[in-house]
Amino acid sequence: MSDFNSLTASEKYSHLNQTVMNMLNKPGWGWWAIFAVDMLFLAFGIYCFIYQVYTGLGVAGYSHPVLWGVYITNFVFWVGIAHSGTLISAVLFLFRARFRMSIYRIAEAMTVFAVATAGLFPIIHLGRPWNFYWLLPYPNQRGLWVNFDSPLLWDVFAVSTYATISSVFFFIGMIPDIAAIRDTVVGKVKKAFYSVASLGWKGSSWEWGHYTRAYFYFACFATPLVISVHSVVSWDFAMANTPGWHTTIFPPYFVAGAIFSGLAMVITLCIPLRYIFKLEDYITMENFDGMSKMIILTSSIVFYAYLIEFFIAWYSGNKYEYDQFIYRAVGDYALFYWIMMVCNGIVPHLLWFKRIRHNLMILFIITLLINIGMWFERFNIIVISLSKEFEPGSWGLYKPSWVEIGITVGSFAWFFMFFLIFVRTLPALSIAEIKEILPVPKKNGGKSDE
Amino acid sequence: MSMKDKKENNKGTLNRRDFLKALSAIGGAAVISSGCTPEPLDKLVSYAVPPDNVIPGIANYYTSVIPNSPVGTPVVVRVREGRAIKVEGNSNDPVSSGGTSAEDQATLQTLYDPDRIKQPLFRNNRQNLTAITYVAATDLLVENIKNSSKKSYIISNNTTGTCDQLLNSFAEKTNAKRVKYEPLAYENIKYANELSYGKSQLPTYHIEKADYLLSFGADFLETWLSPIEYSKRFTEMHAFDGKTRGTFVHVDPKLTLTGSMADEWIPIAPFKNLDLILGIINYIKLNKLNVRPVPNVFANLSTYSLTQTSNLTGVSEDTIVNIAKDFCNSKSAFAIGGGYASSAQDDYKTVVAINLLNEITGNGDKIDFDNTLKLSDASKFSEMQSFIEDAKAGNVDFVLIYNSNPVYNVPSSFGFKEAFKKVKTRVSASMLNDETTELCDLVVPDLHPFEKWGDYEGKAGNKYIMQPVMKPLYDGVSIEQTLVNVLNRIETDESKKIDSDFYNYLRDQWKKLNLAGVNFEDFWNKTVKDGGIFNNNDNYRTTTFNNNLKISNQINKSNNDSLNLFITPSYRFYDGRSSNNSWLQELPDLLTTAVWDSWVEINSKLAEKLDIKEGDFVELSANNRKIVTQAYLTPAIRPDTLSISMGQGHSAMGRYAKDRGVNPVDLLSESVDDKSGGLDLGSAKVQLKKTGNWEKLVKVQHSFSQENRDIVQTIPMSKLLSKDDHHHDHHGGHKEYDMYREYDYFVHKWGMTIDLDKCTGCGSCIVACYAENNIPVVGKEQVGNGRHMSWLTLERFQDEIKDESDQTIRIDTRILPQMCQHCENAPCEPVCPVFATYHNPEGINLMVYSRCVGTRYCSNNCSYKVRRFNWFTYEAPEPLNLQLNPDVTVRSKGVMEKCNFCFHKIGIAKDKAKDENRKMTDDEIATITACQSACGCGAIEFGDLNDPNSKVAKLSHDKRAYSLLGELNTRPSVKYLKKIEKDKA
Repeated sequence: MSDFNSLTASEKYSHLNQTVMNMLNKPGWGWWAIFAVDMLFLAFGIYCFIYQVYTGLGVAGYSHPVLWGVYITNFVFWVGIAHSGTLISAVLFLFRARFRMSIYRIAEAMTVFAVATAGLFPIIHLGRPWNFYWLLPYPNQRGLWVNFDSPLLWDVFAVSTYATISSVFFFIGMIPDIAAIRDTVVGKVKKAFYSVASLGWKGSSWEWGHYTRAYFYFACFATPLVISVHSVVSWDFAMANTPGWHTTIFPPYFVAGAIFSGLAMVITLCIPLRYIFKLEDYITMENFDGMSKMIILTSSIVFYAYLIEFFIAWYSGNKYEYDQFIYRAVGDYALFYWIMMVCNGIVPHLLWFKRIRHNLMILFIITLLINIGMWFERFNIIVISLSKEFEPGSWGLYKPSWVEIGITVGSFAWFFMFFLIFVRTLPALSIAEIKEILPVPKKNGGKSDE
Repeated sequence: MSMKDKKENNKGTLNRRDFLKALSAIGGAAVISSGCTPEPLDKLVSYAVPPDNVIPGIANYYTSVIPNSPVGTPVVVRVREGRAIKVEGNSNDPVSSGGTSAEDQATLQTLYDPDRIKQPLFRNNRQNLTAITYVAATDLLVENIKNSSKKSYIISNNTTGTCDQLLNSFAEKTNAKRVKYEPLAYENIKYANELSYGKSQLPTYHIEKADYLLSFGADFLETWLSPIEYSKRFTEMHAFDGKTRGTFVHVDPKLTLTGSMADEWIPIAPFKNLDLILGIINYIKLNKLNVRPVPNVFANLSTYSLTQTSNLTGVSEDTIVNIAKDFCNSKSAFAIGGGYASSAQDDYKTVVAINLLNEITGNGDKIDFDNTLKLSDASKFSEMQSFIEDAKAGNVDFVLIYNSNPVYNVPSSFGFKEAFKKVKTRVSASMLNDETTELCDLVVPDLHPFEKWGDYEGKAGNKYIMQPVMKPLYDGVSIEQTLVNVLNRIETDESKKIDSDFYNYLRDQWKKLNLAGVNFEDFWNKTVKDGGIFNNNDNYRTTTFNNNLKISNQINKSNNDSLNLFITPSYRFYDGRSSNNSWLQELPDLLTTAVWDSWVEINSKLAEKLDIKEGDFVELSANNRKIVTQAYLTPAIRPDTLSISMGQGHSAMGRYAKDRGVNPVDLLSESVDDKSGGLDLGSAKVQLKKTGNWEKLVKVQHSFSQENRDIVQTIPMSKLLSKDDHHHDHHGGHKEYDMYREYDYFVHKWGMTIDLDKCTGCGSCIVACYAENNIPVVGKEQVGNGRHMSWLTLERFQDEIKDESDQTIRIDTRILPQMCQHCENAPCEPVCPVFATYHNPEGINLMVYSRCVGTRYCSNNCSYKVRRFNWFTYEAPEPLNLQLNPDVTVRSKGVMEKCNFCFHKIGIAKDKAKDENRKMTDDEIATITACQSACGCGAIEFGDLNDPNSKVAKLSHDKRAYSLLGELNTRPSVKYLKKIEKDKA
């Protein structure tokens, strides 16, 4: 652990501002190259979407009776990714978990961007996306209203609430850091931007007093959302009567899965970021260790859910449920099922070993596998359940088309576009909070506020 | 008042003109800005001044007849603003009893066929067909007739009535020979009846009088003789009447639609029906089960011992004994046969043997020669053969082809095409540019029956009026009128000239039928209104069997190395004449659920041996000819038989038929039964070879097993008859589990019952639904992607049941007509975020298309999977769009749709009742749903469940009633009546 920590604590404290400022320097060709490739993928995704809107949803691979596919998979996947941001920033804040400090900004940014990505998919998947606003309960002369019985409407509220809260929380957490950047940054435009974004933060103790109190309240406010958002998303499935969906285990199972995938994604993002920007002093092994342990916990919950689903399918004596789970394991989509089982249920348990937790290369690969596994988890739940329901005469298979793959790739490009801009414009490390846990280099060795 | 004054007067207020201007500007801006909204309509009202008898928005009904083979169907056509939009059966008619076939329902697509020939065509010097006028065409016809010195022929389908008379006089005038070519002319039956009864006729078989029906390859629910009529008669015989129910046993090498309705299907070696029947007769004779003496018709009858028969036919001895016993022990048994598919060489002997079997058991009285089919007048195939010989020899100068496509239908080994090309003048009168018309020099297009006057006689005594229900689409002239014109031109004797207007000529002919001697105008108006004159007299004289008949018969042992090709006529395309029809192409074949193509049915075990999988392209070769088509594997065919359905494999005809599938008759050799004059369908002994190519066989249904889910339920006879009133089905669902208050259905509560025991799976309901509800046709590729749009599907399940006792495999086929179940606890309703699907106060689950945003959640949550999504905006090519029902919204891409119990028709019926200040009558309600009115077997019953006296309310509490997936507590408004099962012995 200590290999990476080449700086002493007091050096860390003094270098932190500069490290963060360095990340905001004019990007080099490397960044531009990555950004250009990213834009290319995004452009292709947008092309696919326009083509789909123009031609009809039939260009996607939907096949009766599987009327939800990759788009909803992506929606749930990205909402899941969005989870760990709030978890790390709010829940762990309330629990005073020290390992969150240096990574929570990245996690929060990831949350906001993931929600921004997830929010696209319910619209992309609509048959008539131009009418998406009909899902909003806005007053209109036609007297049309929305159906509050529908889980899809709950989604609208859950996701939009989450997007709002997580954006506000993200922004509030950054105010002191932006002010710090404002104070050192040169150039008129940049100065103006950071000045506005810092909301005139002066760093007075009066401000700090209100700020910390506000931050605490927001953390309290955001915490239930960690549970609620994915519970609501899981109700899209659990409220339906489809075998394989209609189960009470879904909310905890989905929340655990979401945190699981989110943590994996944070690690996936942090490892290269740490390497590229040489943040070894701040994003330490302690951070990865903590997150890895949480991955073990959530993976165990998820794996337990996988197994209990089988048990209940057998124990309930419900033929449809039973057939559905046998089909998952040995049917047409069995490969995807076992990818999910191995990636989410088996592979994360390698993290019980400290040597693996601390080998960033292996950790990176494991988290990638978890991301893949979690994507397939959603795919399996959605597609396999729908392909074989009650009535055998209606059964059919689904295969994504190039349009769906294009839009999926485009969604990743969309997410990384935000992320790439973020690391170059906003403080990716929380200067204020990291400083909180570092000893203040004072002559008198005084105590910090907290 | 000047403009200025006007303006001043309206100061401060917006005058009407300005308001409208502003409105249109806003509207225009809205249209421009909303690029993604559906396209604006060009014109909303086509009738500024409608004709006197047309009220825009109200349908007119006209009787007419569809001269589809084999007997024609009298129909009532619904016409909206001058466009025929829907075909209904004519309940006046005793033959069809108001039923229609899928082919009849789809005739609208023939009427509006985008490939119809629009005007006469003539092949010019450059060999191109160029458009000419009808006058020029008549001139050319007359000229060619005058110039022809050698023989002339008229090849038509089996025309009847006035058209037939005209063709006869035309033949007389031009010295032409007539060939009334019907590919399915049943020469075997005619000849056998000539031998047995001295009547070369196709009689009526009164199967409804039997309680044990034994069919030897007679596919009477599909194409045999008069399928709509026999569906009705079959229902009468086979349906449960509260006490008993007839038994139906079908003998065929492959399980056909008809066979799948049988209580028992007996797979027999192909073309071995005769041996089985003789075996049965011999057994009856030996065991003295016969009621009348067995005449010595077949000299070698005694050689048909049980073992011998069993060896020849592949039917077990037990089965033969059982059939013979059941046949003789039944109060009233009846055997029929002579199906087209099994009519091989000498097949007339089979029909003679069937007649004999009926005779010796005292059941010959169910054959009715007083009501014969007009199809009996069709020419034998051998007459077509003699034309070919004539033409080959260069003796034919002139041929008129009318409504017939011999280039396609005559097996190519006969060389019709080559012979036909040698004819100097080839004239075709056809609606479509089919294979035969393509070779003609002069094409005089015919009109659709809905565009012209005429008449048709399907069964002797039932004469139907063909009434034009709309103006001809392309301002054409009917072929009858052209014939009248030509006849008058070539007739030199003024006194012999006929009325120059065909309509008057037709009326002249009908004057002879005015037997009651009433005022002709009254008679004519009544007849046209009724749809014709009908023979409601079901009495007939019985006919005596010729006991002195002697038939020589040799036992043929089949060689086992090659496979037999079993060519079945299609209940969708008949002989291929209805193939250019997208509704029929998209109507799934019942037992395979395949669409838009051909396939060869191969026994699964045989396929396993040959390593053939479903979708593999296989090559079938016989008689030096070969065809390549996709394999379909099924246990429901004998391993020594391959089967291909007729109707596909057109090389011309139009966009929907062309280059699609294969024509199996091309594998037949030049073999004709010299006694009966019929084509030998047993002449293709095929070699099967895998080509190595594979493509997904496009089917609608992929899983054919019920997976022990009891979707289509049965009830054994004994249980049905038992006094035990305990009812296992939860009619009201599990009310104790309901969270919400029940709906109040104050006035009506619409519901439906479907009798699974009556449904024959003919598919006419599906096509009727397409026509009524503007359901788009999506084409082969999209069906392959699982995107067919049919609101009503016939789910078919085939589970193999292994009989432990004799190791034979029984196929348990069950058919489930499935549409939206209109659940009271509809799973689709609560999940829609925008209320696009909702429960109406009359119990109907409705779709508001314009509100739908396309989340498709409703379909995901539908337990029955009856919802269909518009993946694209499907548009039919013009003029097929003229068929669209203006009462039903045409859906655009991105919205969900499904059955709505023909909601618009309920509204029309309600309005009418309200206008007349009365309640809706039962008859009215019975015609509301398109599926019910198309169903010839009365399997579907729609009505008001709130009315305890309605038929549907009573049926839904029947002992047999059950809800599909009732345990889900969706409480469907559609109830199924269980299929009745024979008790296991």
